[in-house]
Amino acid sequence: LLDKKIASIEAVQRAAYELSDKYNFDIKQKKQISISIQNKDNKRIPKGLKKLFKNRVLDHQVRISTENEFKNIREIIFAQAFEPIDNLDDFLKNK
Amino acid sequence: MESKYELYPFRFGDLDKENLLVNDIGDYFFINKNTFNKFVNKKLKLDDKIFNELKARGFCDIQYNADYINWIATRYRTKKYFLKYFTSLHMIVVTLRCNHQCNYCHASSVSSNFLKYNMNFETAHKCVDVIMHSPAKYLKIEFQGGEPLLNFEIVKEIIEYSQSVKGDKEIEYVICTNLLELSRDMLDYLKQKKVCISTSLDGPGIFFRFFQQNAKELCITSSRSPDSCPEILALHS
Repeated sequence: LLDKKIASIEAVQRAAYELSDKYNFDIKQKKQISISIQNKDNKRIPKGLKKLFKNRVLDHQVRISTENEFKNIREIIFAQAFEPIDNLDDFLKNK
Repeated sequence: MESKYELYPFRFGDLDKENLLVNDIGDYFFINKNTFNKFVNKKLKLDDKIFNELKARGFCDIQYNADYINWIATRYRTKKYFLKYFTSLHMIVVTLRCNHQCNYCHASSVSSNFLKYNMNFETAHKCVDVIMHSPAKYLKIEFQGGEPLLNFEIVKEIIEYSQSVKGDKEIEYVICTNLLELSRDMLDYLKQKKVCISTSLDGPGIFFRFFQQNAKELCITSSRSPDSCPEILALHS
């Protein structure tokens, strides 16, 4: 079970996809996000997998959060690189 | 000092004990994971050495501001210059023949006797035609080899032909040469056409002989030491 305040469903999906060559994931979203994991070759789930998965979720969560944070400023930088505007400070204040 | 700052776009990679941060302007920074967590959660102090190193590389600033964004945008534009103007530097290997066989040389070369390794007029014209398709207004043609002076007629032809078809483009020429074949006439021509000369001065004779000691064949005795080419240096100055 994962608290939605800590990780988004998108981060969980990304982490699951990363490990999907070896494991099957069943992800459900209610008040919390529940994840059940099955080994594809029916062997037992390794001991460290839960910890590894949580770390991967956190890693993806940081990526998602920073991507969201950068979205606007990245567009402004690209625009400024090829079609610069003079009053950029004013533009930033109004953003 | 209050820790309030803004992050600028980056990506990061997990390198076991460290994270590697990279950004669109080609800068990078290795950062340990604890510091990385502080950084992305905006807990670094503004007088922290790491914060200032990250700031110097375009990863963060105290706030979003025009000067910093313009600095990043300028670097981004420079890095992506080729997208707007396509290729501006064109290297033409006018011959594979060379009169030296220096053991440090990166270029492909064959003995100066093998005339079949010279570029011909037809190919030279086609090269120029292809270069002229570049949307870049400012072009640079660099003559490479082998030793381009061994096929100087083609060098001249490329210069003359490109000047006749350039339209409103501006072309700069560079010839990469070991200077050995350079005659007064060649030098006058290069000067007249404002061709830059790129060469390596190996230093006094003792160094030159050292570089030549693994040569595959006997080379003409020569020294590319500064003392032996005063005219070039005079032109250069």
